[in-house]
Amino acid sequence: MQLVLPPGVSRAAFDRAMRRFAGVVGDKWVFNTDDDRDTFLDPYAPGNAERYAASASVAPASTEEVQAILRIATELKIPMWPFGRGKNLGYGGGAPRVAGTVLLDLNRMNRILEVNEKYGYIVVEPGVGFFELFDHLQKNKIKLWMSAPAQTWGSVMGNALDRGIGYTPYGDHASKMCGLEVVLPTGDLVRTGMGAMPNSSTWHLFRPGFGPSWEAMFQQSNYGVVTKMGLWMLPEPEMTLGLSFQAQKDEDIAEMLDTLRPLKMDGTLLAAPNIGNAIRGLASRGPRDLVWQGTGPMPEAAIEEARKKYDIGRWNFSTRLFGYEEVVRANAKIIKDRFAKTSMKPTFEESIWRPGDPVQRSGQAIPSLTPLNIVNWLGGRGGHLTFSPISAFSGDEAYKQYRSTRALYEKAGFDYSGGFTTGERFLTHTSMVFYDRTNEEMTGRANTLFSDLVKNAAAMGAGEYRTHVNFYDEVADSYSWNNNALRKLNAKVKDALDPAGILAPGKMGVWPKDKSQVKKL
Amino acid sequence: MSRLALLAALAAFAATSASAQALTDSQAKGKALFDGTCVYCHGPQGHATGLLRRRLGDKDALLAERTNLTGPYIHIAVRRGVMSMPTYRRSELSDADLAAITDYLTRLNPPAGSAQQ
Repeated sequence: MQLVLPPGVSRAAFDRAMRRFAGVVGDKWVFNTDDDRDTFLDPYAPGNAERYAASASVAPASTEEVQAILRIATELKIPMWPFGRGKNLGYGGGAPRVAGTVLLDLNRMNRILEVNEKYGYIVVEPGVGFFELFDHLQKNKIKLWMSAPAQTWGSVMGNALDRGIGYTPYGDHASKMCGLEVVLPTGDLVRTGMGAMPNSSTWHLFRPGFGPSWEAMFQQSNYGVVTKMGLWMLPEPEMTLGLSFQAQKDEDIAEMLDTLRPLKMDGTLLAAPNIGNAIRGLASRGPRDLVWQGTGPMPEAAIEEARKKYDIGRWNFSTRLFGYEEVVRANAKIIKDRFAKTSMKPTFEESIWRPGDPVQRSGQAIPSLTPLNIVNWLGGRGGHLTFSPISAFSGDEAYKQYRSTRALYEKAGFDYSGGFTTGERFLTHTSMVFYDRTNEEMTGRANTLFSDLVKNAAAMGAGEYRTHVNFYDEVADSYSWNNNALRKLNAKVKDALDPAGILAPGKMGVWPKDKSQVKKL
Repeated sequence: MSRLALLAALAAFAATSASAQALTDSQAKGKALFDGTCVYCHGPQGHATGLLRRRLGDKDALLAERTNLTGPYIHIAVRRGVMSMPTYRRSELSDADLAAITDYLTRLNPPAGSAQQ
């Protein structure tokens, strides 16, 4: 696609910036052709991806190069959009919020800087992917386990900074982050927590340090570019035990979640369970026309027939226990006893792993791109938007939210493919809007549906924790208590750290003082 | 399946394939890149292979066994995406890398000028 300049930047100023960037990284690592710009577009765009298209890309290889680039960008007022791998599919990929922004592609900074088995952590650069980390741990027989999301094409650091989740006891990735090195928008370099001490031996062991703790400030934010991250890893357990069952009625979800709540709160179950509905199970198997050839949302009778044919529950529960065998066995018994007292009286399937058994059965994250198959549910050029509101850990609330969410999907002509996972005290209700990117009418409906979902959840007291580039402001608007006090604070911090407003303007609805870049997508 | 296991499976598959043949240096480089990048979706167990099988039949399901891919088509697929396949930027797959992959994926094509099947 043709060049779209950043707002307020002349062609001459843009060309000057490209030359200055090339002076830092070399001509080879500045990408500025029409062909390149095609590769920068959001691959799963819900509509016209050119509305938020990047102008160019610069790919540094070191922290020092990142510092030099941001100093130039601040001087020349060039907006920059950093990413580790650019595979945040369903959330915009590597595409920026403001058309014309230059990508800061950190893919080349892909070193695993340290693996510390004694203390159970790794230190990585932004370009390290889940595949590379997994290979490194396996090849070197390191007894630390990785946690990862379902789709693992992306960056280990990027996922943690975006508050991604996995399904081991270390699945809340942001909470396992310990010790960051960050380039501020002006090019200054800081280390968080104990890393502020010269020669610290505990940078990646104790997060707070002394005084204010800033680590969370760099998650889902545009306050700095993280160039090194410490991440705690799960020590290989003595055994793992998987538990799964199917629930056969829609309303079973309420009792299932209420049964889980005390088990999550008291630590009987440490890993996040994965609970998916029938459509999610069917979508993982292939396109919808394998099981139903109609238009609009699948009717109840068709869902029932298809799920029974493929032995899929109305809700499909799975989780895994990790640890010492005596503890795992005891906790598994408690979980099964609690569920035996419910109306579901489920029959659990168990799977056991011990050291030496095939890694695929272990429950540690195994990188895979197979989950991407779900975007083909409606055929054509598949894409998806993910809607993930956070709500209280309550079966009643979850059921009401599920019913109203599903009703909105079906009213808009889409299937509800969704499910729940849980933290210790909250639920994440994740559903996916699937669409054919080449069908303008369908992507229009998908966008309208998403806006309706945000409003509907907010009215029930539930808020999105993460969203696609297109919806940053809409979601940020729902966090409006006390006359948007939080957004105002975010903006004040933005202006203090990034006076030129060049780093990822608009990310998560955080804009710099100069609002000239604000454009409704 | 883990990446290592997947690569081992692919290697075994390739070794037993009737189409296994000596590769030029460029094709060998392309194969290594294909096996390290594309194989997750386009290997024998990949979901993209399943989708292609459904759309085009057994003969054209596995990219590494195709006899009708062209350089321009591969370029478009990689740099602009095709169906649900996302794009690859030059920072992650250089033009030279893409040329090597193209050499590998077009190695079984009939010589130019010969009758197409």
